[in-house]
Amino acid sequence: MSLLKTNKPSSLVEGIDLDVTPIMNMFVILIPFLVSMAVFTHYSALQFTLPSNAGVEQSGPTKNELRATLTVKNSGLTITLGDSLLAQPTHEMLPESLMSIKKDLKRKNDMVLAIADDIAFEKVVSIMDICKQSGFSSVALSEAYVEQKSKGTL
Amino acid sequence: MAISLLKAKNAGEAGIMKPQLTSLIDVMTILLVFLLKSFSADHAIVNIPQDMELAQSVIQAKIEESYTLSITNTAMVFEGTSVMNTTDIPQGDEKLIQPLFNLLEQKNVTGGTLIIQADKSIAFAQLKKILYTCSKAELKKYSLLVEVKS
Repeated sequence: MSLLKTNKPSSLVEGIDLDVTPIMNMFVILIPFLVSMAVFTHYSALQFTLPSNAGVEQSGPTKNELRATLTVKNSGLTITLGDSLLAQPTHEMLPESLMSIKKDLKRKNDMVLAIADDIAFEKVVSIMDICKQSGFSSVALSEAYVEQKSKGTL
Repeated sequence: MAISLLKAKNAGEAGIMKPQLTSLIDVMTILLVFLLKSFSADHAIVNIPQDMELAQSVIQAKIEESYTLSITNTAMVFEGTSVMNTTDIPQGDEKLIQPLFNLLEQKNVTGGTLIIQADKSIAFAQLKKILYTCSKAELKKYSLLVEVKS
């Protein structure tokens, strides 16, 4: 009963002004600091390996565990497993081709990219992107076979 | 007329003008939330040279602390130390880049991780010689620095 008596009428409560100066001060300090520290461009690191046996023919019991090789040349793309040709997709059809060959591979997560000398770094990254998106988490970089030379390794 | 009404409404008993800060605080709060979201303390410090344009990727992966080799169309820099001009990379069949190999040996990078930040127009012919040299210096893990597509 006594509490009810001490309650202020609603008209008086509406008249109270909050002092927002400290909040504004905090905003004025925090916002320039955060703007200076904000990261608007995000970077990522694409991991790869250097295969010791990329492009080298193998025989015997290890032949079944060959990694698929995607050769990237200006003339086109070729997917091979050892000596056998698996596909010759266009750049647009590469994800579908990779998905379709993946189920028949022993080493389902491994892919060797054999890149020709005149391919730009941008295209290498683009092909690596497609491989990783298609489930080939372990990508190795190698140089493409050139007919004049013996098969090269890094 | 409208201004005078507003003045009368916002004026206190002593006739002092009190600006309405509610909308300003709303804007500040939204801005603060957005900036806190984009702020991250664990981002690796990446210094990209002005003349370098990185390749773009959709893959998002954390950047680990590692040695950095920066390759633009003009210069090659390892951990802030200029190695050579990119145009001086040997042509032809010679794969080892001697100045880079000497620097890697000097820095004792054996078993380390390397992150390569290369301009998107660099040809693979140059990149493979760099990778060959790095493998000769026994670096173990390699990554390519890319810009994440938004």
